[in-house]
Amino acid sequence: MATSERGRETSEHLRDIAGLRRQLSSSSPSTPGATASFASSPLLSPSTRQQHTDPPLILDIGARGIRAGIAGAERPICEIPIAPDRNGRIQNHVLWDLDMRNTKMEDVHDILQAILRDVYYKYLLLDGKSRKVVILENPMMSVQLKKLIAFVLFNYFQSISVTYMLSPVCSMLAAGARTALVVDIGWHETTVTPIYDYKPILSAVQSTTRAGKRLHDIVSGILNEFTSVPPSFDEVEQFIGRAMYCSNIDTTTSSSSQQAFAVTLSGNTYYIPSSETRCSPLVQCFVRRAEDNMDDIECFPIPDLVASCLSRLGIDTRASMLSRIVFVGGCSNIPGLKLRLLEEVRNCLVSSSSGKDVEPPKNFRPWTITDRSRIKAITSLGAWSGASLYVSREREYLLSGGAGGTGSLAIRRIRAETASGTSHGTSSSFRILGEVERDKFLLDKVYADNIFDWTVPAKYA
Amino acid sequence: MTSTQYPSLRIHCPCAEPVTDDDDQEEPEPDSPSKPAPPPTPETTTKLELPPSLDNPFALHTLNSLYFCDVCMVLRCERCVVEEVVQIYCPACLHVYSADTAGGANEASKVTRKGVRGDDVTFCSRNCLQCPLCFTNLIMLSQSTSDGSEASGTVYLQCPHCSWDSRYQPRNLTFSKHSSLYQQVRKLSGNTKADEASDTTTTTTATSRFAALSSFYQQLYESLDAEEEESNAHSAPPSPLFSKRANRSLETIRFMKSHYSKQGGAAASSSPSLPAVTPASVLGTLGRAGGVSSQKAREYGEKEKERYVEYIDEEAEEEEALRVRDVTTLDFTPTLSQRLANPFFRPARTSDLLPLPTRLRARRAKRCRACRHILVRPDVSSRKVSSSSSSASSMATGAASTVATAFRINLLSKNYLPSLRITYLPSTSHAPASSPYQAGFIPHVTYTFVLTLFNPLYEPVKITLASPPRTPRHSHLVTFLTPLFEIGPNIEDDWDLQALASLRRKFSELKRTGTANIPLSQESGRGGPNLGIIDRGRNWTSVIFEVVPADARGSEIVVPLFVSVAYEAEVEKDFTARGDGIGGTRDGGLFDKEQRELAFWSVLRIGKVIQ
Repeated sequence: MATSERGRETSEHLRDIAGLRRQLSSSSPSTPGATASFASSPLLSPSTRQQHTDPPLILDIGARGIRAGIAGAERPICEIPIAPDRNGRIQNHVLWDLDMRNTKMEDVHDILQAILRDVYYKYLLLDGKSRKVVILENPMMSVQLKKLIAFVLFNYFQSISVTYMLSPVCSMLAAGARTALVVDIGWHETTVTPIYDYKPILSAVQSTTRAGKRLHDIVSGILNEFTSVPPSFDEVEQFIGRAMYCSNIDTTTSSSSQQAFAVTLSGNTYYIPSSETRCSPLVQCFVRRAEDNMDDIECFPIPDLVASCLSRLGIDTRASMLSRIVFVGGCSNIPGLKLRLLEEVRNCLVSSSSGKDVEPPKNFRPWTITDRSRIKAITSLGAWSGASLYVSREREYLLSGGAGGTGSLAIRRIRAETASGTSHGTSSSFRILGEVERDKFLLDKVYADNIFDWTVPAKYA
Repeated sequence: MTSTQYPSLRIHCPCAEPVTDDDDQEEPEPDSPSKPAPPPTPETTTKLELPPSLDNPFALHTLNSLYFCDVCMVLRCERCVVEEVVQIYCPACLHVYSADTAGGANEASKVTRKGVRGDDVTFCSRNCLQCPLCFTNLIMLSQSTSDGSEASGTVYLQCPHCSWDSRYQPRNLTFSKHSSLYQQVRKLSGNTKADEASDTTTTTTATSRFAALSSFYQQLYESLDAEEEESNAHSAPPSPLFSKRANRSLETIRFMKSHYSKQGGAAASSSPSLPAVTPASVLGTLGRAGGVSSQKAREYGEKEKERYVEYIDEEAEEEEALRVRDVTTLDFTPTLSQRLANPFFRPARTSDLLPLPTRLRARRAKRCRACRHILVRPDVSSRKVSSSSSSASSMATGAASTVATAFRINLLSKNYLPSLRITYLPSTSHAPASSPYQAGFIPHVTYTFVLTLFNPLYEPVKITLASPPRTPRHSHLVTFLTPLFEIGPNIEDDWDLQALASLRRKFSELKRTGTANIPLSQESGRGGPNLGIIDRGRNWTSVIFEVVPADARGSEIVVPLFVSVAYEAEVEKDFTARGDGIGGTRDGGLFDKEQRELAFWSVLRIGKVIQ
């Protein structure tokens, strides 16, 4: 009893100090000059003093892996895929399921914490407590997931603040554009996000389950035909990442490329009879409609999804979107896939003017052949690099005394604007979400519960 | 599930509270010392409850990976310590890149770290490079010239494991200098395209593209600055990209005015490859502001096309697709891990691979999350001695500043909690002689195990074992014959070697004869309470427990075991290191003797029941 009492007393005392220190550091000196006064305080470690000059971390937390690095860098320092580990602690290849009801948040918490620990101390080699963190979020990211990420970062890594940035916006920034239609081919979902003048039009965001996981399942089925043992997760991913390509036209008729292909993946050898096998799953996964043309509303092919997204936009915005299509996400790196998708989008839009497949929406100007050449895709360095560009610029700007020395990290502005960028007919129920601060989050329960609760537009409104 | 070694023993850390439990907001786990932490009432008649997180693999640790806070008197796992990076070093050349000296005044070390640019601090900037195929450390060899002399000074890299050789790569990688190979490789990875004309991957130009975009946005911000100076009194948030719509029309005028006035200069000074901030972009910046007429908006739409974007290189893309189509083997395509390993670019083919930089490692100090008491602090003094005067230039000093391996403080659980070991004791009567770990356990057969506890403390301890009579999930029957016993102190003495030898003899004897025909308690001659104690030595005791697997085929036998350690701490002697003196005397005033109790849950995974 005595020992624990003593321990508790000491710990309370120390926590008071820690609290005081935090209070001091969180009073966010507005001008760079104000930080000087902290130097005299013996309580403050240098890292605390430097919190306003250290570049923030940028974390891109996806279902299949985490990218992490420091703002200002061209590429993330590490990309850690989620895979079962040696201790048998992580048993899955994904962090969460598309249906959050099938996801145990405790597990996500544990895995995320373990991986972020690696990120901080194995790869980035820095303490979290002196850093702000920027998280890239998909527009469809669940609120509880966002809250969980903030919880882990604040609790275990003592981040000063956490800011969420929309990953499509960052992808667009990394393309140097201000208006774009971002097609993010992720693991669970492919999301199409229109952005006009730096504002994501969230009411028009569309998503489909035709994404990495579906491709994985298709390829897994095909590979299974060539062996007796079902291929492992890694084998399938290796096959997709290394052997798959996408041709620009359906090559079923041309037999010129019927090349046998032998792959040895971690022991199993697969003899793939024709190169067609390495291309058709992509078409089947992303492009082709269901045979009865009755796709579930959740799994439209990507070209149809783009068309449907466009139909939700104002007439004035459509044209500029179309010459700025950005393909990002893991699967978009498969050689040729971007071109094929672009081609299919062209076909889809031009043919849909005849109005036989997709219901022609009202005020949808018929597409003509001339429009076809205007549909173009632009390159992007990826969401992480975009965020890095934006955050480092913004930070430099603030450090150099820009913005009149007012206000904290102005990332919140992008958020404020993006969240309120609802000019295209969304409800005004968006909550402006800027920087989430540690003290507020941890001490104010109401704040913590509600901060992430800005309503993502109903998926099928 | 990866193959687990049976038997395995893990210790449960009580910090694994479920996430959903939002009540403990500040320091969630440790201040409510849940089950194992002391409510140290010696009479443990209170009913023990299995902690709910006992089957969470993240809450289970080996004893060696646990720390012990001697202020809170609780064990601490990696999740309930706060870590601080103290020293960064290269694991290959042991060069120290930054050190945080123990006290507060560590300006110099901070400077060192700041001096190394951004991402560079994560990689060894000397000659440590790794094989891009198998990640082994490459060795640097000097290329001998044709006449056999090594005067050329040209070096190349070779992998001692997979014999990857930088000379035989398509790009014939040799290095003219034998110092800072990292920088040379880094440079190469930036301009692969220049070297290889046919190289078409877009990733190689990413560096220049990033730089271009970066300066593009900088321009945007500079134009903003001008605007900001002009409208200083204005209260609107002044970002160029995201200004408040309400103030747009006013801002539009201001911004355009200021912008056009400096337009000439800005356009002239910008590099030719970069589009200068054009009037269109200004219009674009202000977007669909209320004050801009539809005419101008259309104009903006037209000009928007010329903005700083890069269209997909369709030819290159198609070429790459054709290349992948025509390959007949994957040997020329790097694996996913080989691709991910390169931090600078994403290689598309094996021939693109470049030597990888070595990631630095950090030595970390660890604090208790509850009381901030330091649990682990690495000793960085060796560096301080060697290069205190030249910390800034320590990069070049080489061997003088290699990393030390010592610790100044290292509070490990294995110095406080008894370590446990399980041994299977074959019984001739029932179980087959072969190890049941591999063969699997047969239901309804009694298996006997020996649990040996080693006491690391200098005091004799009283051990209390507790386990649910039936395991939670499959209700295998578990019986600990001796739940209460003592272990002697951990005092060095040479007679113990003999005892160990005798134990070994006894064990081999037991293995021959089996447990069935030995009297378990009488041989030690202590009667009833010591039933089940097989042997004991100086600071260890071996007890017997029995497992009867239930008829749950294929299931794993997982035994939760509660271990409680009670001892009397003698604080006045040379054991002060364990607790601070003030607390000890106060306790001494309150109680007759300082009774301490440590307790923890552990999980024994015995094996699997046969199919």
